Amino acid sequence: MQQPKCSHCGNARCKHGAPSVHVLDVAGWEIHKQQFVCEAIAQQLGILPQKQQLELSLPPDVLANLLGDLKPGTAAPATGDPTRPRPQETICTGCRLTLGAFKMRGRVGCPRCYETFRPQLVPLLERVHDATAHRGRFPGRPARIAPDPVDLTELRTRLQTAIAQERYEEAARLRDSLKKLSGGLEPDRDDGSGAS
Amino acid sequence: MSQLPSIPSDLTLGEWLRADGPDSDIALCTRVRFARNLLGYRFASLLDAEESRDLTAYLVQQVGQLGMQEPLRVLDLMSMSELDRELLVERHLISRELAAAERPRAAAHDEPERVALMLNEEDHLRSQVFRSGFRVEEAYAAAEALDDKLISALPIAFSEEFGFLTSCPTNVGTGLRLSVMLHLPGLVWAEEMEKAANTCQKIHLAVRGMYGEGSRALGDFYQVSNQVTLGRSESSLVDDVRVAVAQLIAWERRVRLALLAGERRPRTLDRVWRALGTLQSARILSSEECLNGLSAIRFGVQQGLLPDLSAQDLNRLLLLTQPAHLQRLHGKSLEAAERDALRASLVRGALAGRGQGAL
Repeated sequence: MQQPKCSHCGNARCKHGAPSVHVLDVAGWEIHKQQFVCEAIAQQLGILPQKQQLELSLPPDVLANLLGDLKPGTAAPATGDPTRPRPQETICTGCRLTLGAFKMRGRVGCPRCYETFRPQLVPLLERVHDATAHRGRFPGRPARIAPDPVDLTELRTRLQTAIAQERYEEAARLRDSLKKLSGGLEPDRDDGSGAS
Repeated sequence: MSQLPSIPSDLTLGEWLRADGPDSDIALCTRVRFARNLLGYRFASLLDAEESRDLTAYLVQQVGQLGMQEPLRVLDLMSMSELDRELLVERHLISRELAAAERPRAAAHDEPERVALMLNEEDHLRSQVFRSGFRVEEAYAAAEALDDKLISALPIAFSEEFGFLTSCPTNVGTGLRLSVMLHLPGLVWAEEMEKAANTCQKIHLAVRGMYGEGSRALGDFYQVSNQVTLGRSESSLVDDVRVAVAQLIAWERRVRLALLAGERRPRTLDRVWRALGTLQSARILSSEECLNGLSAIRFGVQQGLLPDLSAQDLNRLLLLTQPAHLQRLHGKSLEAAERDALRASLVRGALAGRGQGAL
């Protein structure tokens, strides 16, 4: 079987080691482009966390081309280390993954990332799956008694909007509806915890 | 096949090439995979070596207590040689990515190779169930039963909204990937494969090569699988693949008959006998040339053109001529040129004298 070659240095095995990192560029319905890169190259690109501080020496257009961006029409950051938080950048409290690193890697770092990066994830899920909510089975419960996830998603969105616009009475009502619909399993989102 | 050397027990045909299931002339194997992650650990790509070791040890311990009907053989991939890991890849028991990774990780499989688990892959746990031939419902039912055991034993990351949470958002939701490995020389020779692949993509099915993502479709072998994992129930995803693959199989059968009729027949027969002649005579055979030749001969066997060869013979050759299997047979690591010569010798021995009484 052929060993995959590093898309950056072209070798199946080089001074950086075997190309063990699989980079997927997801576009529309399908995996648009996929490449393997060495671990050290992946660290330089911000796909993997750096074991030690490395200079980001690749030009920004190479970065953008190699990794793409989750949001069409926006380029990868031109300078700086995307794995290090910039001022006021969203960062997951569960695994410390930054929004920049998530965009570069195309992978989340822990269950909580799904809540932390919800604004970026929901449009991505819509493009990849043409859906944003689970309709399959639930662990420990037969699927037939699962609540309709479409309703839940819509209610959650309305709840977030109501909170953001300080319409607290409506927010309380929506929260009650959510709890009722989810069979009392709707998590309390005030503590910042999300998907579990 | 008497000319084949004696085969070590771990090189016998696994479930995926046993080819004793329904429609196994075209559908070699059905595979169901679930991607799952545990609460309490970061996802695999963020784990440091110590966390990877802890996670892997915990998973190995839990997997050992699952109470499977067929006991699982647990393999520490860190302590295995690269060749042994490649052997598992060629048998479809682990992914190429898991084999190449350098972090602590493990795998487990049962003796008939119908169940395989990958521990600390891109997701913490990937369970796989294989069934020979085109057996979608049976494979899914077995995979779901295994998944139920895993869910009961482990704190699986799940969100009511997004479903089973995975490292890559392309797998979230059901975490289900159902794939059927198909041998489609008819569609390729009739130049209808591109049309078939495009049709699959329109209904959100992925068409990939023999070893999944990133692999080329060597030897006219294709894996057809669901692309979408979110927003659909498992049963509707299973139905999609089942219906589409049934149509592909019917399409392949129609094309095969057309290729063996009228003006197209001589060219089709020529392809089969030319391949047989080449493989019976070659002194050097690359993996690619060998797979393509075996594909044409397999077509001939399935269509009754070569009665003194069986599909099992061909499937065995398909497996044993893979690089890691060849090296295991030979008992040592070999350079590519040595492998090509050994492959040619193995195939010559197995095919010697075959096809003499044919049409």
